Amino acid sequence: MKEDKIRLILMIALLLALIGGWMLWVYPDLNNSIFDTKTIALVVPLIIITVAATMIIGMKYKGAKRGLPTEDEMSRTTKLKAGAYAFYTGIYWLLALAWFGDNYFERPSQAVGTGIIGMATIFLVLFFYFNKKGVNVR
Amino acid sequence: MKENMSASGAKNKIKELRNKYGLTQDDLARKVGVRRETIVFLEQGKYNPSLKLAHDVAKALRTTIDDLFIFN
Repeated sequence: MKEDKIRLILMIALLLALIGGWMLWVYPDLNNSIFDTKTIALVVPLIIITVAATMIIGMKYKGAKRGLPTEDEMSRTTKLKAGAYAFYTGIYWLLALAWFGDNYFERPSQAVGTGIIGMATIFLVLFFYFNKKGVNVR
Repeated sequence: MKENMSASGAKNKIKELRNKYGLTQDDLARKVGVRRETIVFLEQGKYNPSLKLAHDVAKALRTTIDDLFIFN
């Protein structure tokens, strides 16, 4: 149970660091009133990731309150499967960015950030999908 | 006895035995040391447990793996 508490605290700290990093990254554009479609395209996936991460932490916290573990073999299998599929899909996402992104991004950091956010979004979508569907291995 | 079918063709009697002994999903999860969602997915056949987990569930339900899981 102590491990579960530490795990929850680390997840909350990671989420806060994510939100903090996001604010620092987007803030210059907000300050300069350059809240255009490019910035919105970067902000929306970050909001999705933050909401999804909060939901996941909430689910684990509810379980921990009832005296159940926050992680077990099924959750680890789900994470691994979602991660594997996200990796395969993410490669094509990064290739698409490399091919089509030259005229779209003003700064290299935007391209890199979009790549990272895209892969994270793909992982979260797949994580919730396998969480619902199950990870039955035939 | 009603059995739950899994996608891989393995049936299981987890829900029936759990009800027989008056255990909730939470109770069984606590006994076995997993999350409640894992018990739900096991009952629905959406997750194939490891040998250790299958053994622990069978032990908690006072039966054997062979009697708990039926493979076609």
